[in-house]
Amino acid sequence: MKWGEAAAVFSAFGAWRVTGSARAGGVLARALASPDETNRTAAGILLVRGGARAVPLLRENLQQGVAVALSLRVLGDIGGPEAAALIEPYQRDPDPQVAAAARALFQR
Amino acid sequence: MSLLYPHRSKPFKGMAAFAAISEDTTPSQAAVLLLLGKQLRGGDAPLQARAAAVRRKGNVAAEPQSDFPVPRLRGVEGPIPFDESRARLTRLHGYVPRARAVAAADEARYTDAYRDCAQRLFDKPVAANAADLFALCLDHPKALARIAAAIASMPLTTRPEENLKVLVQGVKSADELERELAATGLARYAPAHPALRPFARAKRAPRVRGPRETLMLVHGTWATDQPWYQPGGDFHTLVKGLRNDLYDQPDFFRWSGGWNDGARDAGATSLKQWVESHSEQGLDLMGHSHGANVILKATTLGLRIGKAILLSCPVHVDKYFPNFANLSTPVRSVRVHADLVILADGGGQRFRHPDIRETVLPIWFDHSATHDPQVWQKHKVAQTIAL
Repeated sequence: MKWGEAAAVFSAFGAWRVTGSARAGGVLARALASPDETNRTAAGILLVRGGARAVPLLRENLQQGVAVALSLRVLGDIGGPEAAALIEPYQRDPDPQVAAAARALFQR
Repeated sequence: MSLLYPHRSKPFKGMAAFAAISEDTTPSQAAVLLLLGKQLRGGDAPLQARAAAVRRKGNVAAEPQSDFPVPRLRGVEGPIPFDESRARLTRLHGYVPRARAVAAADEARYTDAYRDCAQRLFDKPVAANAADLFALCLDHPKALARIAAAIASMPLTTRPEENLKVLVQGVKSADELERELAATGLARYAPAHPALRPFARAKRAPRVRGPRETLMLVHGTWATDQPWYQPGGDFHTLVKGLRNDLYDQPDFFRWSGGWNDGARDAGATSLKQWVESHSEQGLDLMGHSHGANVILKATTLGLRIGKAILLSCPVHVDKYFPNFANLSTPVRSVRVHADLVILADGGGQRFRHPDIRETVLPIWFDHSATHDPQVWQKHKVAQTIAL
């Protein structure tokens, strides 16, 4: 397990929740790309708990190609029209894993 | 017994431990570092909480602080960049890092910087000053101090991989104290590390003779695509070696993995349908994370199963609680201490019910440890839960 990253995830969530710091939010969003399951999942849950505030962070992940499949799943759990609009084009993504993740979110 | 560090009836206390670097003083320095690290991990509170969870809080006592006083750290808010510590060490103490441990010619200069840095921490016990001392200790001429600093600074460091290197080196030491301290630290922070294999006495769990009923794995949140639970994945392969009736066909059960109640409810309905369509009523189910809650929910929807094995299950008894009439008891729950994902999830860390038997592994924080094959082998999980 990546301990430094785990600490960074939780401290970033605290800072993002309290101050709305984009930098802290970015740390949280980029942790979705972590190879460490614990840190990746914790970051995702914390983003979902952040609700609509997390959508711009996840949009940036999508634009930069960071953890696209998981970012889509997190967006799916946040829900709402803005998240749906971000997810929709990925149903036709050339990456089958990404496309399947996006399609599954619309099939729920 | 240590060959390098002689037994002492009295430790060097406080700053006296840092007045010089020798075989006599280094164990006291290591103890200060480790106690600072303990503070960073929450002090005695986790131990007391664990004891309270088994109603034995009164059976745990901390050593009096006055026996070996250590500065009480303030301002602990998260990792402190290693490079910033290095810069402060150069600016405040004129210390220029050398490769790994300091050369003999530099020892005097190192000792001065080390003493001054420790004094700064004793004068002003804030997290940044502790981080600076930890950073300096990674160049300490004695391996014992390097190892202690590597363990203690894990919650503060931004370079945990460097700390692990120190510990891996330490387990190769000819000195028993250095070797065992390093192995203990490595076991805490990287329990599956290959360097620990010589220390592990656990043998592979015995195979179950002959097939029983079907066993199936259920993945957790956002893990639909993860290989570990799928046929050929590392955990699937381990469990298949223990239970050759583990389901291994391509149409194994999957659910959306969404982190919401609706997704789990749909997953439970889908699991019930899967079992019925495969005529597998009475099968054993092992679920990780919220996959375990999908199993529990399914039993409340009328799914009849055999054993339920819950791995790192976030506890939400208001929403997910077994229908004990539909499964065999006890339910087995395997978890680690202070699971970070459960912390993020907001669920409880443990069940408290006579028909749910908890196995808490001596591992902290790591949500995925409960599906790590090496953890299963080292801690004999299969035997513990009577898989």
